[in-house]
Amino acid sequence: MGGEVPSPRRLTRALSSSDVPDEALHLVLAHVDAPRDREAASLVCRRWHRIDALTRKHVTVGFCYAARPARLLARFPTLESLAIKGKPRAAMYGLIPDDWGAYAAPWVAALAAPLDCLKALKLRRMAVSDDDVAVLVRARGHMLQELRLDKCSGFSTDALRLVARSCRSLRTLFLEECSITDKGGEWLHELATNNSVLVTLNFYMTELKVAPADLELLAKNCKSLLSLKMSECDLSDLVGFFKAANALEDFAGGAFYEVGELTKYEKVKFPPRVCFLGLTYMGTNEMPVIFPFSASLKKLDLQYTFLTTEDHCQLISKCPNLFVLEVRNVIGDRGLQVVGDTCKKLRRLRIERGDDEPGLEEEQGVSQLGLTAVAVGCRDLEYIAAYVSDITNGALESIGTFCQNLYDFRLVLLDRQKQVTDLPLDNGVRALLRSCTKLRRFAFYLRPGGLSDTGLEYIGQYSGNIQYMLLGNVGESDLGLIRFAIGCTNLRKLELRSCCFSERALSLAVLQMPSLRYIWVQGYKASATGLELLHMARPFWNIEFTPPSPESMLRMAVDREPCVDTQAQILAYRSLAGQRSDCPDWVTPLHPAA
Amino acid sequence: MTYAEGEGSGKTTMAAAKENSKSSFAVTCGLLSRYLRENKGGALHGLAGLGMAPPAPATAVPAGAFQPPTTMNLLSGLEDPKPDTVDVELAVHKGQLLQAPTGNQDAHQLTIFYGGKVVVVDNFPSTEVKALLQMANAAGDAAVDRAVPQSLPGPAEGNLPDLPIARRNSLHRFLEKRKGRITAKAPYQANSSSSAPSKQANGDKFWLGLGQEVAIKQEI
Repeated sequence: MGGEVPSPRRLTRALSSSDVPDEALHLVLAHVDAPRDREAASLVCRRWHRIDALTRKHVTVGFCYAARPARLLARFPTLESLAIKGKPRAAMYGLIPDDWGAYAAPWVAALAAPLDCLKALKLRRMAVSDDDVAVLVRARGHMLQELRLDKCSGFSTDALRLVARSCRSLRTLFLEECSITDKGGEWLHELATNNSVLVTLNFYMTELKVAPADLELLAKNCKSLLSLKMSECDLSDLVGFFKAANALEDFAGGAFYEVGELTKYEKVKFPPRVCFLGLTYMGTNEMPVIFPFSASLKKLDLQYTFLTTEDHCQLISKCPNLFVLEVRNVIGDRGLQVVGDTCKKLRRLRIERGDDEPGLEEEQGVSQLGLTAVAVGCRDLEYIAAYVSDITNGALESIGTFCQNLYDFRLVLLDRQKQVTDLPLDNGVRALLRSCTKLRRFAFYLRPGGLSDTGLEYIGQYSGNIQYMLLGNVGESDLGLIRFAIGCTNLRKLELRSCCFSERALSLAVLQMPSLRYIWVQGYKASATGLELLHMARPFWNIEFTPPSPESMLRMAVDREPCVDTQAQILAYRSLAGQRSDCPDWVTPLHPAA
Repeated sequence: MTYAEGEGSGKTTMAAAKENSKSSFAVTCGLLSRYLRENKGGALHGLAGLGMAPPAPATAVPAGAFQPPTTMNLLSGLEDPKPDTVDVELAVHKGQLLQAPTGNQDAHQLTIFYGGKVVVVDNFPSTEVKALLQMANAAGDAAVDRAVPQSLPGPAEGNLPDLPIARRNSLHRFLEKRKGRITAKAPYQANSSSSAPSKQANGDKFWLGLGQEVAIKQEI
């Protein structure tokens, strides 16, 4: 949607409710897809609200406890696609125990009611049981085209068998990083025999064992299979699959089990159109299997390889057309220099954290030098996530100057290196935020002293369109947090970790941010009672407090090592569903006495 | 409630750029909404008295910046979290306090946290602080007592956190497996690993299955 914003007077003439018939509004709204536009339209008046509801095709529920399933689904009767997120992001880092909640059951039960159009369901970080899948398949199986269970847990391959048998129009089955009880590989065999339209199959980062012959059968039956991301399986066993999967563009997983064994993998020939690639356990000697088609690669995932810094340099210099690159910090500044020189089209760059133990990684990780080289060389970057060992204000400023298309920037300063060149990063972060006005997501995780109260205030002041933020080890006092909060007009979701803020300041900060609907905090100045958290209490706002787990307290006492869940957590969120009823007993809902 | 994060997990590179800033459509909808609310009961029908509109915000909020979700019809009148507290911000503005001359030698910046609001006043004369505090105390006592004490099994008071940076689950698993492979490949350890397996090596055997055995064979 472009063009100028008309004045209210002209608007009235054009849109006053009596002039535009419902049918016309229906037709117009059918062309509005962006969720924020939809949201705005639904708030215009009751009639717009009704027509938006009748024409809304996709809804993402940012947090499963924020809405009542039945009510939401009744509001949008023609929904075609629904996405629901569960546990806090911290679950991906082992900070949330398995039995925390985020059960899919209430949502799946509501889907069983007549919802004629639903064909895509995505659940992220939720607890899904075999029964849930059975209910879903019974209600929607014939229609379901897309089932995405992203980092979910609690189900077994029995559920997958059922899906394979019943959902014959399934185009996408996505199970990445799910924790699945493996009762055998029959599910894949059934999928291969029953489905002929599958486009995407993903069970990457799962522990499922499958038979290569079933994959080959799948490739033969599903001519449109474009993407396969799978668990570990020796690549030499996939020769037949690759031969059959002629349309395949995207492959990740597999494994080189015999590192150093050259001849065994010589016969592995990737399909002609493969341009997204991620090979588990690839080492120096196996790397040449990529060379013949490296120039056509658009996406390369090297996070789970054994490559050295030098290998990264060699390989990436042969990949000038990359859009997406995912690596560990073993790439080093030297490797990033090659990225900056070679990958002029790069849009997404992720530099994950490798092993902290010296000796295993050959260099000192990534610093301001590497990031600056990338910023200068790759002007189209939209996403940067990096674990760095050192960083300077100048490097942040360079990123701001050269990468103005950034919509997502995440930086974590690792805590192993003793000396950091240039703290605090107040001016650098200001320069970056001022320039990167398209930023929607922002993470800045430093170490104590990394950002002063002034820097924190800058982040608020220049937060612009940022909707999600993660901040760690920032600020010096409560005042910094409050000043930050005053600036954050559009922030919806905030995660704070390891900061010195008091409960009272956290509460006041929450009340300052008009768009905030979700906050997660771990590591703050806790009081003995948690009482001050109640200052953020208000209608439709749930507060949940999780004390540190007794086991990890014990472990810490014995090992003297700080461990990840020894600190209390706070989760507070806007909800129309009231207090949740499925809290485990170690989570305490907080609310003022009635 | 129904907010979408647009890019989701960001699988596609290009999709996200579209919704970078609030579109002019959304801004326009905000304007229209505000206009309709302000003209409630006018020539436009279908709106008045339906309780759709949230109470007008006390301060000027940029259009569309914050609207309660539309399903919150029942919310009318509940928006102010602490209706029973005195609004210090207003009190300050109404009084004479802001007119303190900037040349006042004893004026400082004053930050007030009160009733869920924060006010920063420049050049606040220190002589007026007492008066302000009295005013706040007189009005505020009742409000503070609303919260009922709950005893929480919390950490010790004032304990400043020392939290290690957490690692992504997938990376953590990979690095553990890699460690297992390196151990398995190292000479002299292949045999001893079977006699005295650490907890980790056990895990790795499970993870790696065939892989580990092959690696051992190769080294020997």
